[in-house]
Amino acid sequence: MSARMPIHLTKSARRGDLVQIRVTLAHPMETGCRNDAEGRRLPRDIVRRVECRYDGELVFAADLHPAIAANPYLAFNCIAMETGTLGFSRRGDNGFAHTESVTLEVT
Amino acid sequence: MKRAAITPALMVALAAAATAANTATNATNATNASAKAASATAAHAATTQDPRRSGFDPMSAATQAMQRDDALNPAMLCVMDGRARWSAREAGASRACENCHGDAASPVRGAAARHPAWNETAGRPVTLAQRINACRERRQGLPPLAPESEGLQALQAWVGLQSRGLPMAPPSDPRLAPATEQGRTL
Repeated sequence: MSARMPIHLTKSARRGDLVQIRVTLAHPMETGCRNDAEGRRLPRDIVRRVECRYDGELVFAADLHPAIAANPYLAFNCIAMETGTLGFSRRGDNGFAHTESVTLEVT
Repeated sequence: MKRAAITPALMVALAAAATAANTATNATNATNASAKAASATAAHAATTQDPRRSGFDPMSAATQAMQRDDALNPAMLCVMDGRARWSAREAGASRACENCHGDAASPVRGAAARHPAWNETAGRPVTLAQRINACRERRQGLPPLAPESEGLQALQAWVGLQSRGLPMAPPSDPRLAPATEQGRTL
């Protein structure tokens, strides 16, 4: 599956409103503790860090670890200040890096 | 998808089946192409309770809530993948799925609800997955996808989602009877 990070939030909000942001990180989150059918250890492949920046300012970050299930789901709240971009970036093992962004309209 | 190989397509199918129960008892919700037949079915369902139960019913409340919310349901990742595959022309393919069936989902609406169905060309009953593979071979000139493979599951999930809310409508084709009987025996 290609790298996907579907982001769900109310596309428009009033200034001062609490906006819930929900994001699913499509990722296998291989723990590094499992073996394949031939008994070979499967190398670890996880997302290590997720960050969300609201117009460049860091508003949310998470460090992920092994034992977190595949396709992690994150939800957090943020106060709508002004119309701007919510930029999501994540990076992980084997040089994995992916960014997505959505616009939050504030009236 | 190695940890949950069967789930995505199945979850969409279950969600479709679950909402189908509501549709069957509510004639006003019938958005079937043949509205007449649908309302007749709904009227029938109102008098005689449909004995069929969706696999959605015995799930825990938490799982049901997760499946009701597309933002939570990880199967939607598979659906998104299927959506992309639907409109992308693969290398070596003569055309993409949407070149024949259209971009909008409407042409395949109800397809998942009426499969497995008898296929004239194959001369046997085919499942939705086999139907997709037949299209690949005959229309797109591509090799068929392996059963349960990521690509086939994604396409199935996407096509399956287009039947959301429709009641399961297995065709009453007498040629399907031997296969139905075999299934019952198994």
